[in-house]
Amino acid sequence: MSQIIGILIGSALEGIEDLTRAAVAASLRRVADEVERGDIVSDEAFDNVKTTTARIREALKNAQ
Amino acid sequence: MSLALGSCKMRAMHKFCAAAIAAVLISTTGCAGTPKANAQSVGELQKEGVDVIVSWLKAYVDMKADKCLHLTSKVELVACLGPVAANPDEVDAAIELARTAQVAYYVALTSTGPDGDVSVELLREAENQLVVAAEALVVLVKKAKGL
Repeated sequence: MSQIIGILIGSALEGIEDLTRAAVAASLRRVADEVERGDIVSDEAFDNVKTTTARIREALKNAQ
Repeated sequence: MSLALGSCKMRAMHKFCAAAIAAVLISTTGCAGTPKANAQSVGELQKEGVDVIVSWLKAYVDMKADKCLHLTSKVELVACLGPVAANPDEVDAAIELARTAQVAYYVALTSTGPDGDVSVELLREAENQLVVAAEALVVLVKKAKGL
């Protein structure tokens, strides 16, 4: 039964815009009592900043 | 620069508002009102808030890097970068503090106690860490803005 529901929900999600799809997916995970690290930890945002701080660090090291 | 940052801020704020709406939607469906469900909503909202702040920092250090990294004189380079971008270790430290706090919150959220539910004490402690970490990021932003 849960497999059928999963297929039906999956099909329904195809036609929904990103925000609503994310909200529905998160809601489904909530019902399944799941939480993903990506929902809580800003890894992508952090790593993006660190690519630039690494460049700055290198430039400061090489400056005279 | 201010227009670019303003644009970034508007897009980031729009995303934050959209995420807040999603979090409210999430909290009103499924098992709304349980300690874990509420804590999960808090976790998701704080992540969106941190994303907004860190996106601003990213735009700021990128702008400084583009403007200044051609300089070879250390004195000129440091002056050009300003008090935040010229201290990349401080920026990284604030980021890692935030990441550690978020991971601690995630662990608290996904750990269950002997009664099979989340530990409210663990969550409270993790939430306090999140507040401290968020405040450290805000201090950086204020320093960057000269406030």
